[in-house]
Amino acid sequence: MKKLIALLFTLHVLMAYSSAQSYIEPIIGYQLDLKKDNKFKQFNAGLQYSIALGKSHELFLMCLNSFSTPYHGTDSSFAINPSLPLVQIVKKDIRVKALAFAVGQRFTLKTIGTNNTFFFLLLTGLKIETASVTYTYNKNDYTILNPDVTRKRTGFYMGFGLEYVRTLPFGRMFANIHIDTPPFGKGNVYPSSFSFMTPLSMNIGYSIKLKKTSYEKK
Amino acid sequence: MKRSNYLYAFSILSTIVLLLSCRRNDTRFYNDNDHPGISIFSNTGNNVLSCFIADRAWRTVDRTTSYGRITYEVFIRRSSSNLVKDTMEISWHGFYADSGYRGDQLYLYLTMPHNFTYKDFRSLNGQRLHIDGSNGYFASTLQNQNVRGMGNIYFNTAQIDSIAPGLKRGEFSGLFDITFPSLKIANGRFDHTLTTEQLTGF
Repeated sequence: MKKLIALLFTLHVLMAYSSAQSYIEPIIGYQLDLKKDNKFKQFNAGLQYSIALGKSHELFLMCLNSFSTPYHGTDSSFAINPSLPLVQIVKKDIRVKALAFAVGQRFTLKTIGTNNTFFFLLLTGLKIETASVTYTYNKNDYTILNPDVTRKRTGFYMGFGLEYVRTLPFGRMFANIHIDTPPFGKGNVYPSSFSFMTPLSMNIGYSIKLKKTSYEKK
Repeated sequence: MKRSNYLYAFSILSTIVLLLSCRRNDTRFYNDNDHPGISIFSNTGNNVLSCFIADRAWRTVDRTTSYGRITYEVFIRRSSSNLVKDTMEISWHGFYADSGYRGDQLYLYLTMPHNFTYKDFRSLNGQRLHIDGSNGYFASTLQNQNVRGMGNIYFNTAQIDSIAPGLKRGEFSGLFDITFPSLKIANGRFDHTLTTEQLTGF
């Protein structure tokens, strides 16, 4: 029900401002985990559809795919067979990927000259995050102590940050930095050595104008 | 009796009943993805033993507290059998995962130095022992038969501490396999916390 209300609200806003300036914005970036052990890092690629709701407020819909860079770790495994070495260190790979759909808002903080603007960013959306764990070891003779397992969580998330936008003759360049929450939700209660990411995201993008505003046409 | 007194008595009684009827489960069973049906190998106090007995998953009962009564899945008993050596008996209570019958027991009888104390339990920490009859044996009541077997056991952790006069606390975890005359136990793993109620003769 909450998802439906959010969707209806978004559609309503988009329809209400359908005559406003709009952009398509491809973005790329990088994000790292703000958690204490800072295990995971990701590359971002996504697309935004942005609408100017006024000179100091923009709304955008974002679809962001975060690709994993592998985290390599180790765990201990033990053999019960007396003819084998008791302990063997096993290699562990964890890959965390995420797909986020968000409604974002840009609020103008400061404008310098005619072409440079700083925005405050606010994001709310849905994120699907999967942490895939793979071990390379002798499964027949060894048993891993406190093993990690693949975990997946789908849930709402929020984010906030800052964005710099440079207006160009044919569009806009922008760079932003924002902090997101992990996807909210209970998920499973497995005692993993890791938790879902709290990413610090740094992205750059380009705004391609789709149509001009009424005041620009005049 | 005033009506307010009845209400007061009723609220007190309800609270007592609610408290007594609380059921707490101190066993955490996390399925092993590499061996579906049994738990992971852990040393975090999950209070469970599990293994495959002739390819059937077997596990210990949950450690639960209900109406103030605690059901334990494992007990350790020290007995002085002769003047040269003592025996430590570890007994696990469990069941086949695909069966409703919960009366099965698995035992390890381990020969220990004479007059060993709870402090000596720590000497098992990190030890992998081949149980061959000279230093102890495994036993079970599986399939309604009292049988003895040989095997191997590894203690990843083994510790009992005295936390106050008459009160002890401990933990032990590890791996095992057993060969009985008519069946084989494989992929055994255990992870328990210990309280005074589970320790006898220490």
